[in-house]
Amino acid sequence: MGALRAAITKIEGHELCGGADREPAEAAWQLGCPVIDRLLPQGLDAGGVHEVKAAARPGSYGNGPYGHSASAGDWMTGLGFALRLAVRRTMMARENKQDAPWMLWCWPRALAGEFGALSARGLAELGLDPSRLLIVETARASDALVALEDGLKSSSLSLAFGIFDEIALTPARRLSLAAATTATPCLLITHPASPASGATATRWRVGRMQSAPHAYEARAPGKVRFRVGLERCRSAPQSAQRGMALVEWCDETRTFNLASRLADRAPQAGAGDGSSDGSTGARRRSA
Amino acid sequence: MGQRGRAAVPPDQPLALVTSGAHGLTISAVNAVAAREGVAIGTALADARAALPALVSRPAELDADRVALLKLARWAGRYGPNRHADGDDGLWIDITGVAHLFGGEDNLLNDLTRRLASFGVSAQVGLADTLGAAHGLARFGCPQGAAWVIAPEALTREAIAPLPVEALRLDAPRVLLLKRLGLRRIGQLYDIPRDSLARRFRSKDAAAAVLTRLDQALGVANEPRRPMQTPPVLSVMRSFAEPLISSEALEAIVAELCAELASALATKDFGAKAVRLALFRTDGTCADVAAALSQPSRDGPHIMGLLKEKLAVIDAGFGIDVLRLDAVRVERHGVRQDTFAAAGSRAGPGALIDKLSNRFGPAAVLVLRSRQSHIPERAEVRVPALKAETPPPRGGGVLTYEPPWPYKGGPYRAGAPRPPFLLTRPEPIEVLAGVPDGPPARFTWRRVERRVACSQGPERIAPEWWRHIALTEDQKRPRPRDYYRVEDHDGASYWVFRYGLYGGENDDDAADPPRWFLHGLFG
Repeated sequence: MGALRAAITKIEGHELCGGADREPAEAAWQLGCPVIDRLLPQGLDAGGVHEVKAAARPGSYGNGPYGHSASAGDWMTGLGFALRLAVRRTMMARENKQDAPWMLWCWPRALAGEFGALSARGLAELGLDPSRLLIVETARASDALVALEDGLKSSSLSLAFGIFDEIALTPARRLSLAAATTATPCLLITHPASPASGATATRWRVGRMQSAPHAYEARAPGKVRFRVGLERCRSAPQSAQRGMALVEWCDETRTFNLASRLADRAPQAGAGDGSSDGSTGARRRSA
Repeated sequence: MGQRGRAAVPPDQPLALVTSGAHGLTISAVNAVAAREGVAIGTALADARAALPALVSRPAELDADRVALLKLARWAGRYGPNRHADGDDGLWIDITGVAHLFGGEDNLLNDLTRRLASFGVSAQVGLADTLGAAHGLARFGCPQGAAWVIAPEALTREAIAPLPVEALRLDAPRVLLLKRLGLRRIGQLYDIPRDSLARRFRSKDAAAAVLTRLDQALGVANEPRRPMQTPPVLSVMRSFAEPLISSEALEAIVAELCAELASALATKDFGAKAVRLALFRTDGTCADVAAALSQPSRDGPHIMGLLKEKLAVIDAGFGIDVLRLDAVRVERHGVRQDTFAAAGSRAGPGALIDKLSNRFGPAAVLVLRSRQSHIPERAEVRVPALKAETPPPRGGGVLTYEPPWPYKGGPYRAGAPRPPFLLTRPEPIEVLAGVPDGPPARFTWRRVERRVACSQGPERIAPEWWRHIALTEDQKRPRPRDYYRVEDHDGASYWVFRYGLYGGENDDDAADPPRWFLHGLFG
């Protein structure tokens, strides 16, 4: 089956995307976690639209079309993952000796009222430059889409965020074209329960886990953990739907590392972790 | 300027517009026929009717008149950018340096009166070196049968000498006093010593008013006046013999004007920060299109792009015969290299900010800037990107700009964590805590109960006492906050705080137990 898929991609002219087991290229836009990076040999497409969706939890969206009230945490999961992808992107730009220019953040005012305004101090703590972030808040979601498309076309951005309840096929296609023309990546964060868009380069499904124990304080939350799955991948279709990986975000190295499966282990035991997945993460952390 | 004739009344019938006052209806305006019959403004309608039974009266619409006058003032911008309504019945236009565009002052005034007549407005026009002199000439100096009068340059003194003293823009009691003194013409005031004129008046202010008005009319004293719109720094204009109707032609001409303005800006080394396009229609109305720019620009196509979107909604009416493009605000542009940019580097966001701000309004496009405060919601503000200073590119060269946050290319760590999302206002939550001073064990936010798995804190943020020194005894003082980062069993992380302390020394604390709020969300 895999050989057949590879043959089809070759017929379609995608010679560049090799097998799923090739080592990833240097200085590409990656998560920093080899298990996931191997799924994307060229890294995330810098001229593509990447959709991030939180994993829908059953029974959470009772009231309204996608009822917000219970899903604030889910939105934050998607937004948190997308913000960290953006941090990875700025790191990649710096490794490639590019200056890190502006980012654009487009969302309808209703969502902004729901989850609040972006806070500069919090963004700076994540590793983004808040003084170079352009925020567009419009009354209607369609206006925010127009602003996002204008931003992608302007070729003055390093990244654009779009936060929408849902996105139809035509606007998503337009965004993809605009992103490809100027090689400006776009991160779309959509409601977990909204239908998936078919026009994006990748789609990530992100679930939130309890964070790792804190290194020095027993009762405090430590590194943030996500369950990440690649649902769709246009450049390497064989990589999609390979299941979920448990990763945690390291603020010091700004990488996603594979998390230990024994989540509640004592922190100093990380170096001697038995599982094969965990050892990769541990080695990277000590490096 | 005469009142516009109402369509319902034939022009050969005497007509008066009346307002109701304390003593019944009084006449506020008359047409030419009525004026010839001797109907004076200010008399009671009953008296005038007794003398002239054929007099037709209509109620005056002062507000509508004012609106129409301002509309006409906007249209008058085609003769000079500085103009405004002059009192309730006139307009002033500053045509300094403009007359040659119309082929001289005579031609300009001919053109003005001809166009006004074509709208059905009868006008008397005076042109002089000063506003005061022009005001008097227009109202009292027009010869019979002529529509305009010009006081030759530097001959204002002679030109206004034969005018009655009413022409000096004085109020009625002062005019009456001057007439009682036998001073009926402005010229008679010239020869009287200023001190002796002042002595005739009862109060010093009254004398000063007369002398000020005289000085202003003669150009001895300066007379500041506020134009309708900010006068532009640079402007380019195009007028057409045949009015423009099609939008394609309009866009082509505007693009030409933008290019022309761009080169005019370049010769003076300016960049435009705000531009305004005025479209003068043939029917005497005027439409405006404005655009603001975040960076001083002299890029013609860029300015055109901003104006183009707004041109689509302009109604051309019966056609547009004059277009004027103004650079309302400019800044020094300086030498800037726009091409041959280094590979991989990107253009600044100026063009994007302009485009989005002009389409969605400046309030929709924001940037974050820091402020001197340690209260989380006061420490940063969202500023419209159009008005914010753009930090210069970082990396290479001398770093002269101190970024508002300590962004040194890596994550910023200073003490307790802060969330990337702050709620617009903290939302009250119901909290169950293990110990009164401790972090919450479970809390209810937006009707959903959340059980806390782990928490970090507290970070105590005290109120800014220097801002509350002036509060009186009975006013409530802000209380310290204890912030915690809490995580529930689903892994969602929140920033909550307790407002106030248990067992505090203030009376407030005893009477009002501490309350809990949710302030931010961690991603």
